[in-house]
Amino acid sequence: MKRLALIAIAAIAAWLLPYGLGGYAIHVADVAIIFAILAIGLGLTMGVAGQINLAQVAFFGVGAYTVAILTTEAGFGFWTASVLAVLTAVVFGVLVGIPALRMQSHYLGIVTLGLALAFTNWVTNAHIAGRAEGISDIPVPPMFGIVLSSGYLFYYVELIVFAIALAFALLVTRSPLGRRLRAMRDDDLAAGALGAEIPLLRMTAFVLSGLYGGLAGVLYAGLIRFVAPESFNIANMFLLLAMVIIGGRSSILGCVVGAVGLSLVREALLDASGYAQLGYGLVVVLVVVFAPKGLAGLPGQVRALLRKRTGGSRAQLGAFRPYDPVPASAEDVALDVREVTKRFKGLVALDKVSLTVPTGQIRGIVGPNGSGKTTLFNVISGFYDPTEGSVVLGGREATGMAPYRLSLLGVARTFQNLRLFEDLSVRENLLLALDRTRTTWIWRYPILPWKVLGYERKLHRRTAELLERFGLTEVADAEPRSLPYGIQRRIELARAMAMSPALLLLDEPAAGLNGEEVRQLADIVRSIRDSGVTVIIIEHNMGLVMSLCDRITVLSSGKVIADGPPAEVAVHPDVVAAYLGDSMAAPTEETAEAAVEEATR
Amino acid sequence: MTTLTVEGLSVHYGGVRAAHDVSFTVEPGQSLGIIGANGAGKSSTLKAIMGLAPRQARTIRFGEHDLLRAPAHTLVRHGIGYVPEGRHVFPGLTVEKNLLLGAYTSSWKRTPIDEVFELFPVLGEMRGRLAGALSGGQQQMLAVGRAMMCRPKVMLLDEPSMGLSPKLVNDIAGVLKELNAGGLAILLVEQNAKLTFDVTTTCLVMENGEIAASGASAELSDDPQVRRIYLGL
Amino acid sequence: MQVFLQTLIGGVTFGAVYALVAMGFSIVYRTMGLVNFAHGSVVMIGAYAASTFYMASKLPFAVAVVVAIAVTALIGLVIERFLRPLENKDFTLMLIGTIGFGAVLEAGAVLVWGATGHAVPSPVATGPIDVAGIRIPTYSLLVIAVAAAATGLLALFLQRTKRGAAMQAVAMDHQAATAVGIHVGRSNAMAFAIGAGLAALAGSLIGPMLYVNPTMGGTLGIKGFAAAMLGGFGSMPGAIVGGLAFGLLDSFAAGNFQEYSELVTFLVFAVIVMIRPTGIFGEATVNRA
Repeated sequence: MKRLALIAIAAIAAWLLPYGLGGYAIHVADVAIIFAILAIGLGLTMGVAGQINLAQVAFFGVGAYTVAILTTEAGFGFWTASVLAVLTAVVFGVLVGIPALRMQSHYLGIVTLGLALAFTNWVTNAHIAGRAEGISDIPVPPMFGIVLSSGYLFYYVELIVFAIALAFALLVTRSPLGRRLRAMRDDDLAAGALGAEIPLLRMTAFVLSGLYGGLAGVLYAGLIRFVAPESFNIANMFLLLAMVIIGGRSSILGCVVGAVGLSLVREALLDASGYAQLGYGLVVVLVVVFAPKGLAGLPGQVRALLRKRTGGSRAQLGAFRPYDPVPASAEDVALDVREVTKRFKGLVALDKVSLTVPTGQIRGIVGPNGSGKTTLFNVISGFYDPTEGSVVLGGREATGMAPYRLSLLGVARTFQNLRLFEDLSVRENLLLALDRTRTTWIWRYPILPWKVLGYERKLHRRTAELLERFGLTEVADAEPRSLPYGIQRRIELARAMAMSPALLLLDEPAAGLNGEEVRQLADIVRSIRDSGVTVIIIEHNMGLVMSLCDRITVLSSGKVIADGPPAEVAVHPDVVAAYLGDSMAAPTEETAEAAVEEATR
Repeated sequence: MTTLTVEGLSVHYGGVRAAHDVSFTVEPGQSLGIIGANGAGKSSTLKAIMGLAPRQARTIRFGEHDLLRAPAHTLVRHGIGYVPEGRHVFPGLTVEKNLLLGAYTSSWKRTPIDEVFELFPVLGEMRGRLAGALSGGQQQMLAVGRAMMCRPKVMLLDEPSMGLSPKLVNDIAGVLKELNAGGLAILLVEQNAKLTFDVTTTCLVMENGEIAASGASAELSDDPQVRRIYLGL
Repeated sequence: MQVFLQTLIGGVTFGAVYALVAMGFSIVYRTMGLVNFAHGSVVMIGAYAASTFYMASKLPFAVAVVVAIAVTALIGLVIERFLRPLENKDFTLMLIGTIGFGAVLEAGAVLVWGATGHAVPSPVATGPIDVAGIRIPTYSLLVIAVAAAATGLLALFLQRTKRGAAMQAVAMDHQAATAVGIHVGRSNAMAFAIGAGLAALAGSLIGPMLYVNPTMGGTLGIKGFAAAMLGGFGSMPGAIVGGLAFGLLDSFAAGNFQEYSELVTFLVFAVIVMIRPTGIFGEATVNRA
């Protein structure tokens, strides 16, 4: 209710604003809104999706120039040209985004910057784009007989476009798509394991970038009715970047505040633009070092500081509510690994490993350091393609499938060194895992936004239930990193179970847990097994392995050296030798290399 | 005399407790082993002594030097050689450069490089080869050789047996015994219990970040506690 | 054929400068994993400093260059000190921070030297050498020789000195480097100063070939960066090969596409790195989503 009131007040204020402004001031406001739309686009790609896109101003230029060329050269009407311009900008977004499929971070930054330079180079020299002089006499956009040449009237057109653009951006960030984008930004491997199609998501980010750039470009062409190369150069890209960084790149509202604020500051410092530029640069450096989340992140930073001073609260883990047992079904095979070999640059990490796990079993995988256990998990969950051999899941050939597909087929895993998304709350971590849709589901965003909201509500209900089952309700809105390690382990387990898996892979789930937590873990894993899920567990805590597992497979040097019930395996001479270091079957050099390879990944 | 004294050492990574209230001393010329399963906190203890892991402790001293206050890069000057887990040689540099860097804090004109080559003839043969091109065993020798280059009084070794074939493990054991016999104190952290019992006279057993047992190496090898920790029986 | 050779010489000359810029990028990236987007602006400051000392203070060109190197090395140290808290943490933030520094340097240049820029007379008075009908400007030869000498000195430093070896060791494994007694922070600062010094050298050399102005850093920096990437980020031979390759690409694009050379250069560059993101000498890294 409070939020609705705030929105209403903001809307009324924005609607009444022109009455208090002079002719020049309204022009400043018009330009500020255009930058705000641009900044939202950059915030979505760079802040939310983590794609370093330094071509946003070029998308802006593509939008504006397309309108200019189509209206002046091809005789199109303004609005027809506008639609085509936005589409063109989106196409450019996709083209510039293609390199993101192959490279990230600074590599992507330099390529997008280079392509932006290529764009300015083209418009500066092409006849059709008016060369250095640019294109003037873009027609006044008509609207039901109203002449939009007045900055006042155009303000309202912009305001409506801006409101829709903002609402859509907020819908995206606060729903399944936005969560997946943020997850991809924080850890694309873990996001893939949760079912996110990384390539498609990266392209989506660039589509959004092109869309917002194009929209801003159209409005710019309609407002100024003149385009020239210098409006779209690197200096303006930097200004835009400064807006987004100062405002807070991962917060859409922060981006808007940054854009509007900096637009006004720029206007105020027009006479001292040299010093202003120096100022922006310094502020950006200071923000990056001292307030990495920008203005939008300041309240959180202050709160965290206060919490540190008062000592903070000790979060408590609730009790786990067991799953309803499901009677064991007929003996079928959940996982069949057949003669899998994995080589890294000639080093053999797995050597003809075979194992068959029947449905509803808890299988332990043990072995000395560097024996290939995690490599085996990486093969089963699709992070590695096996060099030879095959993986069959519930009768279905699954060798070499991408992690997101395996995830949708019911394979869930945890990681040795916890890969929770640190910038997402506990609840969001679970929401992300509960969302089992394919990424192509996002066509509903522009067409059926209310369906998205409905789905989101459903996810929230199921998340609340899951939080309660795992005793995490109390910490639901905390960031994982602020919680004790034992709770983080529990969250990762809950997140894996949120995927309703058929096969659950646990990589050292007891590492770092105390005795009581280990006992709770054992109970949870048993309950998960009783609910019909097959569990494979890598663990060094031999006490836990012996008491929990139905059957144990021992790896050494990438080979299976024993396979059987716990008691049998524990006295197997090869196993004793491998563990206690008798010279019989100590690990070889190759496996250690593989272990190093694994550790440095 | 320079005794390495550790009292009340704890290591935390973020919220994870890797080691808790660990205390021991290594007398001059002594050889002390620390064994335990993976994740028991052995490596963290060693890293913390070296200042390479976040630590809290009442005391970490080496002779008159307070290591708690000494920046990590100054330890080697006090005569502490360190052989990191996973060897960590400088892969893109030659064997000779790797060894010379071990003597970074002293003059390169008078280094014990010939002694190292005498102990590990294979390193002498490969002195111009890039360290990254060496086999695992050779890299391990290089790592030990590099630590010898600072003429240490005590050498801290972290899992030197990792990934080595049984024969190489025996070789390493031989070298360590030889060095110890020459007066070098040794602190050996190992998963390989047999190697540790072989090389050291005294041994600590770590479990869940704490010292669970200690005693003479010869006696520990028959201790049921050790078998329980390793095999869960 | 003559046109081809003429273009080749132009390309190699610019390529030598790009190689210097790329080496500066690479040495900083290699030792501390920092991608310095302000590097181009440092090149620009170097160009301004050298040309100002040369023209206004009437210092000999060589002395002016040395002074410029000293000035920019200092700037490099300041940047490193400022961004040190972010090292090995948030890559994106660090990258944006260096972009911010670039803007500061550029604005500073405008305030000190004005927005218009100035031309620098060639420090070599002799006319071009005529070899079989191809005119080779003496200044080109000087640029290539100086760049080669600087490369050689850098290689000597890295291969033959204790500090050079230590710097490489830090790049490969900073924990092991600490354990053998190397002060990692000091080594990094030195790498940054060397990188900035190389930038200044590149800037001073390119001054007489271009018009020195506050925005020259943007394009030069991007081209140097692209050259480093083409060769394989962080690899020294890669920087040299990448620099020369980019210089040639640049000058042949200019010869064949005139005003659209930049467009063609960057499109070709984008396509090449798409095909081989790790560059010519780069290590293959697995990136599977």
